[in-house]
Amino acid sequence: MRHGISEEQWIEYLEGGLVELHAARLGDHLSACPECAATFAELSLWRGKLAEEAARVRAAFETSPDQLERLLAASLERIGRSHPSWTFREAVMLLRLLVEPFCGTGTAGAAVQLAVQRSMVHGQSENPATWDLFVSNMSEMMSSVCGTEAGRLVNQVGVSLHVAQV
Amino acid sequence: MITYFRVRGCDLDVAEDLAQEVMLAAYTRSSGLRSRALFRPWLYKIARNTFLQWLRRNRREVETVELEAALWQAESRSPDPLRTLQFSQWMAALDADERQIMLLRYVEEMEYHDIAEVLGMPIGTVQWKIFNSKKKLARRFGAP
Repeated sequence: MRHGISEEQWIEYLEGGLVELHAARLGDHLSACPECAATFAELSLWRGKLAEEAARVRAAFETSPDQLERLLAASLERIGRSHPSWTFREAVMLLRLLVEPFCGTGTAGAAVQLAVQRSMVHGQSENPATWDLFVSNMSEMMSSVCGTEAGRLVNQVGVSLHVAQV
Repeated sequence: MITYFRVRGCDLDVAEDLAQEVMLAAYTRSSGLRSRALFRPWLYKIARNTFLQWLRRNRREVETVELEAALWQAESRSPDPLRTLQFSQWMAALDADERQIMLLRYVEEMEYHDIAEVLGMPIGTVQWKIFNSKKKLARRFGAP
């Protein structure tokens, strides 16, 4: 405890997560205490500098589109070897997981639901032909919601999965 | 995911291979995912285990040497080599636990709760270690 403020409170203030009331109290203290203000300023500076330098590291290791394409193709081949056949539901869940990072859980769920509805018209069952239709619908929706790259990815992964006849 | 392995000292071929292993494991174990909101930390947990297994297979140690080697390698492609080296020097001043957390926080840009989930430690410990790492860097290097 220093100047009535615990180290835990300082951590939360600096690293985020302190409730507004306490944050205001620490803010007031900082404006009145040069010693704490200097410590806080130094640690904040490190925070910004680390983020900046880490961005340079990321840029130095940036993966080219060619590398990503190669990686995806190799991964899909490996997945195909270890898991040669998928049920319709397993494959739908996989595509849903794939698109969630692009558009969030809610949108991914809604897109999957809509694509399934559109693919199951006229009492169609879960079979390879329905799967092709589902992939096409899902890819089209992802293209319009998240951009053509996301749509292309869905299509690429979707067509690589072998969905078995029920 | 490739960056995750490269920053930890793997060359590009190994990083690609390990990233594929992670993707394969994620696809085949997706039913083990407790909640969709935990997808990212879950994936990084798989990556961490994959990396540790690779280290064991190759009888190598998770130490600074690898990080430094990787960052030196990255230098040649970085527009400002000295700055990359600077990051490596900073990370070398931290212990293995602190370095792991700082890489997840700053290079992988993870939230505290996700880091806590990946490393299986309380969020307070994560915050505490980040705070202490910064204090350590400030003491050792002064103003950045």
